[in-house]
Amino acid sequence: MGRPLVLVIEDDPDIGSSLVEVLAYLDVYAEWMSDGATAYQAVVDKRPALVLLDIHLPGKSGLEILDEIRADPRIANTRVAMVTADAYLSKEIKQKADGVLLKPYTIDQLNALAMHLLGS
Amino acid sequence: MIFRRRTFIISVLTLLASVSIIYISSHLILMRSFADLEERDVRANVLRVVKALNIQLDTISTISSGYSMWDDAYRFVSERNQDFIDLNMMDTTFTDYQINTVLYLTNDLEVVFEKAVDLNTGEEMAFPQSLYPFLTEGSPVVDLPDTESAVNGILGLPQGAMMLSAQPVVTSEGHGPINGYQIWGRFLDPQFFEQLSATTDFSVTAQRFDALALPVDFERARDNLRKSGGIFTHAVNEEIVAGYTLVNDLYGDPVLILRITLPREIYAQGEASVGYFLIAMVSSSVILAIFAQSRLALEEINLNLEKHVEQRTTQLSQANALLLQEIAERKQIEADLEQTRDKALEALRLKSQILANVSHDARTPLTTIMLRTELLQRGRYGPMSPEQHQVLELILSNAGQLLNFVNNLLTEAQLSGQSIPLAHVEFSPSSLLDEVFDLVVPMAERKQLSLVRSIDSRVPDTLRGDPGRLQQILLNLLENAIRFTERGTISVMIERPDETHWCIRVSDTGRGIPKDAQNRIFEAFWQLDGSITREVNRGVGLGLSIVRQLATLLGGEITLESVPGQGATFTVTFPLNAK
Repeated sequence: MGRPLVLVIEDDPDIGSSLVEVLAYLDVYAEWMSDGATAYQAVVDKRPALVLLDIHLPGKSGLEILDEIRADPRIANTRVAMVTADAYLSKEIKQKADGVLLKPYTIDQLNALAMHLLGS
Repeated sequence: MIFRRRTFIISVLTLLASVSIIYISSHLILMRSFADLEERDVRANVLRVVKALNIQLDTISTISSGYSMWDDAYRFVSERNQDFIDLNMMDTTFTDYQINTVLYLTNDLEVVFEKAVDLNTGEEMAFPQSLYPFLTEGSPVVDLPDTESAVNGILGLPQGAMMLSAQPVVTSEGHGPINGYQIWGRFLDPQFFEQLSATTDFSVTAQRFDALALPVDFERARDNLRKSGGIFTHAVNEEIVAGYTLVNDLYGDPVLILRITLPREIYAQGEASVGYFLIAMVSSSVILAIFAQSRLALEEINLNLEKHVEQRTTQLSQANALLLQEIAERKQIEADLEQTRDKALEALRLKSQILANVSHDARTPLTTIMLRTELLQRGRYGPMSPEQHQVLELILSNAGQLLNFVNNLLTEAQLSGQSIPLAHVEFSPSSLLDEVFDLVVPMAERKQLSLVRSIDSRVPDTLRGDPGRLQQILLNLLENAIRFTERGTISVMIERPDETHWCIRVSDTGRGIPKDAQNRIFEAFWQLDGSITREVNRGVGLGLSIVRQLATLLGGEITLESVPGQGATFTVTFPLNAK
């Protein structure tokens, strides 16, 4: 296996591109997609080490995608961090997710989370 | 009450009218019957008196016949012997038999003896010469053809009416031939009628039929009797009633008007009866009236009772209606209040939602701004001059302040809705200071303020609580201190005032806060200059309000010490084993 993949699912192109660039800056291999509808399938196909999942997405919400991931035994153990501008996140979501990153965040905060969840 | 009185008067008047009508009609009917009865009684009594008069006449006739049918008288007419006169025609004979005159005539109507006695005095008086004209041939007085014949009757003489009995003088055995005639007479004078009254028990009087002047009642009786004869009755007054009849003479002509008077016993009885009847009528009427009145009163009481009940019922239903209306109004008010509350809650929810949306929508571009600025700063796009670096620092600092503002707005909304979620995790006070300092150091540097920090060694390395909220508290206190300090130092100390508490102390060397403003600065949207701000950015006045509310929510307490012109110190104290 090569470098672990971080899959960024984010519909805002500015944030998506920025995030990918920040991760590149942090020397993390990342792929970015903006469509919620195909996100689950992408996770199944790509088996990322970490998914940075936005909540408000076109096609399918981040919460639904999280549920799908957790429901599929093949990918249920995938690390998923919810990255959102929504300050109100329920406890349930926080429990289901492996981490939460509230927008806006600093590069250091993102790095700490990524390192923590990638286990390095 | 008015109804009752009017009804009573009407009923009384009606009763009076009916009683009057009944009384008048009964009086008319009853009294007419009694009058008839009285008239019949008077007539009967008049007839009785007439009969008594005839009996009187018969008596004279009988007595006188004892003298005319007598040998002594028979002889006397022939012999005219004085001894017969002396023995038998004494004054006492007259008074004993109550006769005025005795006359003996021969068959040729020659007077043999004549004598008259005044019965009042008992002495002889002049013989009434007026009798002679009736003693001629063919006169009914001496129409005595046989021994058993007799003439009894009345003659009207100028001196007065006279009752007489003429009989033939025969032998003691009644044999003839007739030897002359014997005539006894009695004046029907007042004395006679007194005697008659005494024997009949009626007051009997008489007046001459041919009198020129008569008492009024006799006059009327004469007129009446002259026309229709018989008996005429007439009520003299309330006590006395009179009956009149004519007494005829031997020729069949009226000679006397006979009058009897008697007390009106029957009439009085009738009056009394009508009186009793009236009393009975009035009594029963009064009883009836009282009964009717009682019934009326009872009916009226019932009516009043019904009215009263009806009135009370109306009042009750009105009160009930009012009550129902009041209940409806109260329900309406409740509903309105509920609606208002719902609207307020909805508005609050909407406000929270809007603020959440504002927060969300502000955070999204801030993310890009901050990430890209940091990348620039970190030389991702090429090396940065110190000046460029400083500009990027400024951008980041302002982005941080904007974020803090957005956070404050969100917190304010959460505090209003009482729905603020709190974390309860372990954190390092040192890290807390690090993170906040990253944000505020550039701000302090720009104002050339020194920013110092210290942590009391007695403070544990790890505390429990909500680091995000504590960071917010600290950030707000520091932003506030930097904003209102022009020169000097801002210090942040984390201390342990006692065994059970730890605190964050932020001191500045700014202008200080006047005593009278020290309580108000914790109010939302309040600023030191006293104006309610209209700006929604810096100095919105949310910071200290949120600090206090969050501190309270975390079980802490905020205090302020300040001397104007010498700076201020805010201390937020929390229990060590915080929630």
